[in-house]
Formats: sequence, C-alpha cells, structure tokens
Amino acid sequence: MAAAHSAASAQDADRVERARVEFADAMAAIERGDWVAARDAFERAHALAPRPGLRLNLGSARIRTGQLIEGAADLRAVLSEAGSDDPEIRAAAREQLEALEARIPTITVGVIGALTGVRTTVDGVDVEPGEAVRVDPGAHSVELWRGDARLAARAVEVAEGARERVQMVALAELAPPEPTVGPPPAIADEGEDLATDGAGDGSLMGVWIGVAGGGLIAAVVGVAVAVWLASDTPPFVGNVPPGRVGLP
Amino acid sequence: MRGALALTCAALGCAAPPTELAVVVDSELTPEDADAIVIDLRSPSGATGSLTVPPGAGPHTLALVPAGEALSPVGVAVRALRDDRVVLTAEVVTAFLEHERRAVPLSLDRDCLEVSCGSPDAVCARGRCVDRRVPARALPPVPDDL
Repeated sequence: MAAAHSAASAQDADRVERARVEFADAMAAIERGDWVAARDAFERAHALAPRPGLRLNLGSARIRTGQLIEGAADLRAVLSEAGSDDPEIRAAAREQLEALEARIPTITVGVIGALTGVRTTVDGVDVEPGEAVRVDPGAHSVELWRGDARLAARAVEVAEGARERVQMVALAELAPPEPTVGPPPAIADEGEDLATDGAGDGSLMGVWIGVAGGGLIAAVVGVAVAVWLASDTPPFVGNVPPGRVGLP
Repeated sequence: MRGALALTCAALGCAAPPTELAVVVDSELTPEDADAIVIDLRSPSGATGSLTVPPGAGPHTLALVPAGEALSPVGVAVRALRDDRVVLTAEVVTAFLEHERRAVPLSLDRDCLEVSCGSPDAVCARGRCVDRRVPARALPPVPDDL
C-alpha cells in the first residue's frame, strides 16, 4: 500500500517536472514571438499538470492564435473550476474574458422556402436557424440539408467581431405535375420584359441561337424524349441533383 | 400552332405542356482551370439558392419550374471555382413562359476565364461581353411535339 502510494507520488512529481519543462518551452516561444508553439507547449503542460495559472496562459495563447472560442472556454474554466481561488489569476481571466466577448464573431443562418425536413450546419455541426452561432474568425462552411441531400453550401469568411448573416433557400422538390387537360392559359406578363417577346434584341437572340446550334440543346432533347416516352406528363429531370427544383 | 396543339391535346385527353426552364451547363474547362462548379438560382420572389454540380463530364442539366405565382425574373448563374476563387461566371436572367419549355444553355468557355465585363448586367459568353438579361422568347424551345 505504502509502496503503491510512493510510486504514484513519484509519477506525479515526474509529470510536474515535465510540465515545468513544457512551461519553460512556452515562455521561450513567446520570447521569440511564436505563439503557436507557445500554445502547444502550454497545452501539453496543462495536460500534464492541470493548474489554473497554466489554463489562463493556455487561454491567452489560444486567443492570440485566433482560437477565440476555445480561449474563452479556458478563461471560463479558470473562473469556475475548483482550485481557481487565486484572486490575481481570477481577475486576469475575468478581464480577458470581458474584452474577448465582443471580438468573437457569430454566424446566423436564415432559411426560407420549403422548410419541411431541412436542417442547417456550420462546419458540419447542426445549428438552429436564426441562432447566432459563435465561431472563430476565418473560413467557415454553412450547409443546408434535407435528409442526406445537401441542398446548398456557402463558404463564409468572418472577421473578428463580425455578425455575419447567411440567407439560404430550401428549394422545393416537386412531385411530377398532375395532368391537366385543356388549352394552356394565356402567357402571363409579370411586368418584366424578360417574359415578353424580346423583339429588337437581335444580338442576344443571336447568341442563344448560336449556343443552341452548338449542340448543347441535344442533351435536353435527349432527356426530354426519354421522359416523354414514359409518361403523358413529361417533366424534364436534369442530372444535377435533385434534377428538378421549384422556384417560389 | 400552339393553340391547335392544345385543342388536339384536349380532344385526346393529353396533358398541357409544363412550364419549365431546362438549364444546360456545358463546360470547356479542364480540372486545371476549375475544381468546382456551383449553380446559383434566384427565384421570381427573390429567393436564392445554390447547387453544387457533381464532378464529371457535362453537360449538366437541371429543370426549373415555378413554385409560386410569379414567373419573372429567374436568375441562373454558374460559377467555376478554383481553390474557392471564382474564375468564370456565366449568367442568364430570364423568365418562365407559362406552359412552355425553354432551354437555358450556359457555357463555361475558356475564352471567358478571368474576363471581367465591368457592368453588373454584362457577362462573358464566347469570349465577349453580352447582356445577362435574356427575354424568355429568345431562349431556344425544348420541342414538345416530337
């Protein structure tokens, strides 16, 4: 029993000694301005011998290297964990944390459209639409999913303190249209010239006829023919998933 | 012609043609030119969305149908990206024509790589700057009387 206790104490002493070495490495890295190396050394030191002071240093180094979220977590841990009773360390943690809050950027994802069954993610983590998600400054990936199908993706670059809003649209996935019988209604004029004849814009028409004549339209016709043969109401379905989308 | 076809359809009990835009994206770009293609859509209501085109040989095709009352404008932009940077954009702003099927051909031409047209309504096509606004009737029809 006593031997086991002695062995454990020796192990603890060894870990503390190794933590001291890591701490010294971290301080040397700070001297030469290498905060990434300092952060890594503080991390190893804290893992070997968890102390509020080391956690404070680790948090500061993380903040210096752009890891604001983890740095804030370190500072909060210093304030909340048992053993954090050194008033100087607590005051330093509190002061840094207060200054940090406004620097942490957020991304808020908004979704409109066909919302049934959709979910949104930031960097692969599910988030609630409308919720301001705290992130580190830098590049982030915002995605919109319905089941296993990714509907949209957006790369977002956020700066310190930014309040980024990303608006995404869940496009409707339409079932094939119900058959309708009778003459088609008159063409609606929705106000923009785009839906009208377009006469007088000969150059544009020339461009499009030229493109169509170049063989692209063959792909459309090929698919359309295949669908036409299979159904009285031949919806065109493209080869880009989901193949057919409704625009609200 | 269309009216006669519709009356014939009515007599035979067949369906009216759907209101569709068939987007067809062809690309001259090599994997060295672009590593991703994204199709951006803008609906008549102003909603926007993006679809990532799976890698592989084109043409890439996509059907657009109205899901609301409004038919215009419809925006389709195709962005070619290399290392997350846009190197080429092809774009059309047009409209649905009710009970008509029109094709929206968009070509990613090597002649348009890194070309900037300097106007929000101009895009590069076949190496020259053209108006991105295309009247729907100027779009090639997808034949429905095959």
